[in-house]
Amino acid sequence: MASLLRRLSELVGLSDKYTATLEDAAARTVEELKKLLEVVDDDETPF
Amino acid sequence: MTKPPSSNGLKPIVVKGDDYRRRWERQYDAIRKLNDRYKAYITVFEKPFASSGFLRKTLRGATIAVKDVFHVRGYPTTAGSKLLSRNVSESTAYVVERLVAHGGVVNGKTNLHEFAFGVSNRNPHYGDCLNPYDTARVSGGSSGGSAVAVSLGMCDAALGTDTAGSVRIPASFCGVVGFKPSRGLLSTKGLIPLSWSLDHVGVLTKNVWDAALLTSLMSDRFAEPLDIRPLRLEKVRLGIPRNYFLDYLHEDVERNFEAAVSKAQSEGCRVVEVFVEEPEAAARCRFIIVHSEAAAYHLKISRAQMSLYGEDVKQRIAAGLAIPASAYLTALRARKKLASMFRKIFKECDFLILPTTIIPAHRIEDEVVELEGKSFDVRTAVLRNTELFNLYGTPALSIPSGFTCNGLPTGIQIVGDYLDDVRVLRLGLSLQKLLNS
Repeated sequence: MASLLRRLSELVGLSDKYTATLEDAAARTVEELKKLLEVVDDDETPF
Repeated sequence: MTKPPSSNGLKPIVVKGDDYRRRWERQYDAIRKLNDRYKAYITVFEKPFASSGFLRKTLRGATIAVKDVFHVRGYPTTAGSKLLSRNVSESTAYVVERLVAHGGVVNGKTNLHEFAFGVSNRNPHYGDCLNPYDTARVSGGSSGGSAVAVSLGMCDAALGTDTAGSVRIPASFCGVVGFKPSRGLLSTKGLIPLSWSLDHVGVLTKNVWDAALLTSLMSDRFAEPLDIRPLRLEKVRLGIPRNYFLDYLHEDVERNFEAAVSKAQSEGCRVVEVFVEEPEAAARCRFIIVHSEAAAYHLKISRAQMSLYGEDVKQRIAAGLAIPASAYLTALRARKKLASMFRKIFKECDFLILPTTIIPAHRIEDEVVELEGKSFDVRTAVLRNTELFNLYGTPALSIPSGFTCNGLPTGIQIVGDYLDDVRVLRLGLSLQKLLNS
């Protein structure tokens, strides 16, 4: 995962300094996702 | 040409017999005198961008300032970024074309939070766009330049975009009207996006009548220019949210909101308390969608030159890159459910009414705000009462509701059911008249 985030940073020209930002954001997303999963119905579609 | 109701108490955008040359002169004069300080415009057009015969058309040469994300052929479109500082547009955005075809003229491109990705309108490349009531404070964003241009008389009206409140927030902070119509009512063709599925085109004006007229002229859904009349307030059911939106309010925002509701009640409105389900989940959902879509857009447009971006925008795009597709798709699934849950409140009330923002314009350097003993980062506080209505796609109108003790404007927001835009505007016209009386 860390390697994926580092490669994504390189793709848009973000320096290594932002790797920590990406890692924090990934951790936050997981927490947000857990809460959203409580709202979504099993048969709901995205579109 | 339809005429505005004389009862609205405010001078409308189009006045028969008005000398447009004198008006343009006054506005260019205001730009010359004030723009260096307030940084409302990024590009001022040497002469207005107009169609031939504009004086014979509906808008009769009304000047429109457009946020610098809308393309106007032959002029630069920077999106407030250094990256696009030399980007000259080859075509004109659909909504701008419509306004120009109806006799509107564009006098320039307004300043914004870089790539519309922020709500302060601090801009490291073109200067911080300052509040017209207090230059130590922000104008709000991301359509802050448009709000300032209207507020300072640099144009008759302005276009903005609103992805989480970017029209309504600066409208509230700068004491003007801001309208975000229902999703899909106005085309986003020809603008630099922040989030494809949450971006809305909106208008900033001096009064609600103008907002209605401009919206109708830009939309394919109206056969004729909208000539709205105030809504009769008797029997209107105003829904006041009893959770989330009123939990943490600046005391002057609260006082002005309560005074507005009380005035509406005295005119016969019925107040109904309503419960909005899962607002925190909706805010999370919006966050994931905006950040994912913005990151996807900037993967391409940045051309690996993100070093040219301002620090805050860089951080936000980095956050978006870290959101996996599974999370984005879950947010899209949740959005449908949350929007459908929200719309049920319109069985209990005709409109939702709430303060546009929970705080007035904050100081430029503020990062945190204290409300009722709780600390918020200013961005979270500023977005709290506006962001959900982009997720739901419902129309939302901000009108001025008064001033704080130290003279800063506050706003109230009227939200209607999806595609109930005309009634939202009619209620706005009634309330603007009432609050000005």
